[in-house]
Amino acid sequence: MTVGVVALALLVGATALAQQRGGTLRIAYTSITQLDPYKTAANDEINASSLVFDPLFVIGKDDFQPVPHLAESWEAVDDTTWEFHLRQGVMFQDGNEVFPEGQSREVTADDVVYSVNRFLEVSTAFTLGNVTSVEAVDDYTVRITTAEPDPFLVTDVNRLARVVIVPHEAIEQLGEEGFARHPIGSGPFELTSFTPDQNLTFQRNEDYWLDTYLDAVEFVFIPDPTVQTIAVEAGDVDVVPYLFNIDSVAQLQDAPGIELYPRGGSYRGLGFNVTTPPFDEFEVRDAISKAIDIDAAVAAVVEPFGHRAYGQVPPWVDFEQDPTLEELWEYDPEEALEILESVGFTPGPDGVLQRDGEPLSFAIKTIAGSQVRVLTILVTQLQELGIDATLQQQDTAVWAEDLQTGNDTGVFFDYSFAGTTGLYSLFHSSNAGRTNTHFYENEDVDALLDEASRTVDFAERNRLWLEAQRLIMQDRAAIPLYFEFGYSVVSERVHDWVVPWGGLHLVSLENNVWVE
Amino acid sequence: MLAYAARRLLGMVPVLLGIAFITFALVSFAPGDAIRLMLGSESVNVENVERLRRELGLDLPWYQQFWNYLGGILSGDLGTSITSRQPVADQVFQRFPNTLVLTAASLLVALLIAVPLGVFAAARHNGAGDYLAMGFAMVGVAMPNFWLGLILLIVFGLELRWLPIRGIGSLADGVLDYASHLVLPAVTLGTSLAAILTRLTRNTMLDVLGEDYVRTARAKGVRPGRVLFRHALRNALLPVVTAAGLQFGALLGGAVIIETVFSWPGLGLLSINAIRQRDLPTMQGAVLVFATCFMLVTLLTDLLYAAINPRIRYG
Repeated sequence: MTVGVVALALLVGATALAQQRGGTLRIAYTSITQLDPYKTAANDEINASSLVFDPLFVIGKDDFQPVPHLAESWEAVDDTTWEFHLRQGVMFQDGNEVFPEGQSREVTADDVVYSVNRFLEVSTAFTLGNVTSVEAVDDYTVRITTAEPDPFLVTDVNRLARVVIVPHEAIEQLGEEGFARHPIGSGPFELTSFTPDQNLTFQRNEDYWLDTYLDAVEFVFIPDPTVQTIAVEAGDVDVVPYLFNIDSVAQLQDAPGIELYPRGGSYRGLGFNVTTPPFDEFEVRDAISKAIDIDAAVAAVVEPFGHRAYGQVPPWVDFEQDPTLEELWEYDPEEALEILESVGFTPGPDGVLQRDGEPLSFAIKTIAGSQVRVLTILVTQLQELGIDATLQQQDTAVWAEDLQTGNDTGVFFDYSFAGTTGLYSLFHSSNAGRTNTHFYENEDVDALLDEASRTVDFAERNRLWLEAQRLIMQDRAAIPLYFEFGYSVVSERVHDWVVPWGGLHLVSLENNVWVE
Repeated sequence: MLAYAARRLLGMVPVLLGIAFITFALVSFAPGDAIRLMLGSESVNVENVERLRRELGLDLPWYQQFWNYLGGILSGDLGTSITSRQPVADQVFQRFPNTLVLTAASLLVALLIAVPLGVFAAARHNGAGDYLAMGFAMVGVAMPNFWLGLILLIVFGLELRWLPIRGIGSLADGVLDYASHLVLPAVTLGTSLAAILTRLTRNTMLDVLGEDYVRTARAKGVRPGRVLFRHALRNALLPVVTAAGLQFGALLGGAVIIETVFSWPGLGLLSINAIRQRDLPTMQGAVLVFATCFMLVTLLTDLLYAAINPRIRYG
């Protein structure tokens, strides 16, 4: 029977399978200790809590543009004012401590006002930018005003898309801690049981405004990533939402009964603290960038599960790729040596380049991941040129603190989730010592990024943004290496899965997950 | 003996204080903290994170933090987790029974394997059975238990599908379900201890079997089985129990790793996650409970001596 269905699907295309109602979807997770959607940056917790709540809009599955959800539409009234029009008749979940069965109420503009304000107050993970006011115009219209024009408010996955709507009664009655254990929202699934790191189940919200195919969702606690993939193969769970290890990706791509869904990814490069000698000299950074054959290393380790990066702006945000950046990064070891000689480095008795008796010697600080192998290749190439480079692998927390407090070696593995505003986080001087671990300060770049962040017109914003990127890359504040793709590992019996992006959406205007 | 136990319990207080201080100092001065991790996120709200730092008292000097922490412990408050914002005491005591079940089961597995195997090896001294048993002991000690765990998981969980690969069963689903979830982690964790105890049982049995009273018993015509189990084993068991008690600490340490492999929601897993996220209060709470547990087990071992060998008396 199954074989027949598959054969038929191959003949007439995947749509031959009719959607089926019912069933439970089982999703693996590493750690979930609380479910307040505003108090976490952890993917697992955000995925779980996003079943219970509705955001105003979701980030679309194909082009990463906002798609209506709780808000049917929105528009910019003027440069600093957004107006959102809410869907009517959406009810909060009932049959719980806060809203007894049949005694729920409609989601209105006041709830959006409450939610945005609470988000501004308690969210440690995400920021809305400079929101000056949020007000209900009528029951179904909300106006959000920003101090300056802010196009990212709706396009960046980490801004308004993160503000799911919460009912104030639930937080008032249950308390902050209670709400984190019994979240109540208007979303497609209601929480049925939650014991941290043990058991977490949801059932369909029968009154949801969209038809939901799944009966229930179970989050399955599997802290070890290797065991997570084994569990999918064993049929013990249906989905591993994020697979961060490309070795596992390579291993699973031909596994029977399993599909890999790619979406988004991360930026990985070599970063410099441009205030630490000798990397405070442009020539040294430039020479390093020419001394390494990035293409070869990326081809050997990463492809086809990622590709070479020439800038920080990833292909999955709405900014365009800048093809001219490619010319900046040419592998030319001889020129690298010449540049180093021109600033006074000469081979010492042990073959290591030195200047005034100081060897050109540094450790690249990194965390575990595919980059360790890429960097190993690059370090070997540097050593062949007489540069005493080594690799130092650290624990994530140590690495993060080290980078934020200045990183004594001056060069490090540069990692970011590569969201829409990643360039701003990584290179704007106002973030120095936090996300800007390059301690890079360039007035021109700051001005361009600030201007772009205020520019509503996309073409102009894109131009400014890419110009800033070009300046940063010309300055060699960082050497981009590659973008690594992110994947969901999904059992064949699951259909219409969309890799979570700012939240897990099993039911939306774009998709409706069902299982065979 | 009661007075002895009470004295020992009282003696634990300064030790625990010392442990609290050392872990606190180690964690405070180690690089990397939870707040910095949060600040490293691309889209972070800096003001709110700074406020969280103040609310949790993480902006205070370390000695003041330690003082507040001690004050909390005395009133049973182990602090608030930085990441989950839930009371640490709740999290720790919710998981601790799970770890206790796992380690107890592992100890049982270890003894069930080690004692018969050790006795068998001693009885077949220098025979094929002896070599086989010692071979097992060697392999068992040498094998890293996370690796053994993964192998068992793939063989019995993925390939043969005999046993569940993850999680703790629910007693509500019956004892069999609960036990089936326990088998793989307990066997994995118990194997290296079993290996150590097998060697020990064999060696002490050999010592005892060489004693005069055993020869006398044999000369009197006591059946070999009775000599082995009645006369020899009981005396040989004392060092085995000591070793098992001392090795309990190693079991707790092993549980930290095994719980991750088998998704066992115990204290070890809680500590691993806390360490990853530099959740200092949770790490502290877990270490304190681990330490207390270890000391109690050591005391229990000492008291067990008296039960096994009536000649030992505490006063």
